[in-house]
Amino acid sequence: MITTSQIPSTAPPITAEVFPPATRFERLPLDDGGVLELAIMPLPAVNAADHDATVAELVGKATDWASATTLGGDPPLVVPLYGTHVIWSQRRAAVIGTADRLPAMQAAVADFADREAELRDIERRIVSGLEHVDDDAALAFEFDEQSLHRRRELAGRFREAVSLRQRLVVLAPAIHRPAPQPPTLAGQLGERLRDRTRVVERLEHAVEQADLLERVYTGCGDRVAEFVSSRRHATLEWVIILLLVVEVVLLAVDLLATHTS
Amino acid sequence: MTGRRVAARLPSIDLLRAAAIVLMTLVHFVENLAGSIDIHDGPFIGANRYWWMPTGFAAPLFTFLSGVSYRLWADAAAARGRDSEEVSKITVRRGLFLILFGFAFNVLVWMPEDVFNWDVLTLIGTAMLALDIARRTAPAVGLVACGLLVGLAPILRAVADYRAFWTAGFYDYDFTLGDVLLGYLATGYFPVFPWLALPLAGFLAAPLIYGHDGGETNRGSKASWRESPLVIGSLLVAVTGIVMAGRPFVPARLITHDRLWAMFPPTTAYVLGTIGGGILLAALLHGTLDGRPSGRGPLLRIAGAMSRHSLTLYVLHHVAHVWPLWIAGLVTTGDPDGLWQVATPVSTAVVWSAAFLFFAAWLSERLDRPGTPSAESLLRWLCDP
Repeated sequence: MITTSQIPSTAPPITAEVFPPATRFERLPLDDGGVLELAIMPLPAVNAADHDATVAELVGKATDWASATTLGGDPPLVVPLYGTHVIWSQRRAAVIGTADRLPAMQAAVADFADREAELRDIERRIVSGLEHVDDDAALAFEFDEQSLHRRRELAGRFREAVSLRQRLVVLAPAIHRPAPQPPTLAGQLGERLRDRTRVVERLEHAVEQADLLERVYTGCGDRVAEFVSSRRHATLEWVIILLLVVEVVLLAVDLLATHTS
Repeated sequence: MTGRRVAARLPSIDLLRAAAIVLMTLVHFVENLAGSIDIHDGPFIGANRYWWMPTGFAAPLFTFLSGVSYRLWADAAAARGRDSEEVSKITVRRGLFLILFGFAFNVLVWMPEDVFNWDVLTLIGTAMLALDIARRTAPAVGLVACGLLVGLAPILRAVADYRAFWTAGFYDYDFTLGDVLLGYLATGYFPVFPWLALPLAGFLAAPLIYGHDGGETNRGSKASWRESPLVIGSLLVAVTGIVMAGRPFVPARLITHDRLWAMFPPTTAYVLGTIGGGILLAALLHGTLDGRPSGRGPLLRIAGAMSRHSLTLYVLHHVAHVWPLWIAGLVTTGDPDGLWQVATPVSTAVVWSAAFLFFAAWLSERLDRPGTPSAESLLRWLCDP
């Protein structure tokens, strides 16, 4: 069994051409608009003595290949399971196993990649939304004339917050879906990937953060509606006051002019 | 842009205000020193020479810009987190200061009998008080107020018998409560109706011209064409033309001036045209000057200094030509008014006004030095916390 810590770290960067000739490459479109490059590598027939070394070499090459898209980020995950290996990064993944197991592994990785990509996209949008919270939180308490021009901007952020909540609501059941019973390789692989990428915890954090955004911008929306409504009434009152003032002025001028003449 | 900004002077506003000072100096020197010389069909150059008409923009521009500047200052103060009550206090103090300063100015420059002639300083002081209310109300209220101020002015003049207060082109009132109040409202030099519409229009137009961020430019905003200052300014100018064309249909009692475009009294066309012209000028200059990355050249530097000391220059330009006029009249004819409008030929008056403007440019930069007394430093000392 090979784990991440056992991957030779000094291996030179490799290109896809150095993989065994039987390796297939697939490009899987993801829900976030990106693409996952998937290398499907059947284990070559080797004698038992060379098996571990061959697997270690393939895993090392696949890890380097997957690392090329995570420059400066987390190293790819290596998930060993029942003699198979999955090397996982956000944009590249490789499955290594005997030919009969590869279709199930491929399906499991594709399924997981979709959900993970969706969650990652939501997280990215939440982070960019949270940047505005400091400035906007005051408007959830009190709205004034000076902030009126920001109405559309706040409405846009409210829509974005609701959209994030809606996506999380849709995503949560898919992530919490139990593995099939009796256990299958694909099901187990999905569980392992979910655990190793901490998808469940990330989902919980994302839900909390999206809740915060929704609360802030719901508050902003309420304050805006209250302000606009009271402003409309105040405007009408002021116009009535102006008309009364004008009437008084007209009367006064008429009286003064009569008195003067 | 989040609306947080540092209040910075806009070169376009400084240039416009400096232009108003130049026009004001020119018109007062020429009309007060030489207004009756070589004029065969009337006492005023302004009423008899169409090429002299641009000088009529000085006071409207000045008052319009007072509203613009107040809006930018108030918005910047709010953006800095300054308390609204504090802004109100400063505004009211400044308004009252300008009204009292205006009375003192009238007594010292125009003689005590003209203390209630309702000059531009008392108008701007009143405008400060009105703008503090406008600041707290929706723009629609200000817009309605503007319409009422402009629309009711001819009616008030008719009711008050405007012509009875004006003899030979000058405002002449009795020291009675009725005359004084009528002068303030409708018949004086700068009565509330319709002159208050100009600072109010400046206040309302400022965010459209300079953006809600107050001068950081409003480029890229999604403002509709209805909020474009160029469209609004052009519409007002077009309405001015319509008002002029509709003159034959106006009841004779409401017509207080023979001309379509006149300053005393301000005809409806004049008020609308100067507001529209002010908006167009401010928007065009803002678009061309304020976004320039290069610093201020000598012209803009001097314009900035003159703009910063416009109140001082307003007082000084009167003192510089009216006091000598009174003294020379008293000495040569025994009557302080003896040389009024006949003191010099027009060319000499123009030279004197140019000389004063050079002096004003020189003086303005020196007034910027810390601790130098000026009308502005007095205003700040008295009114600012």
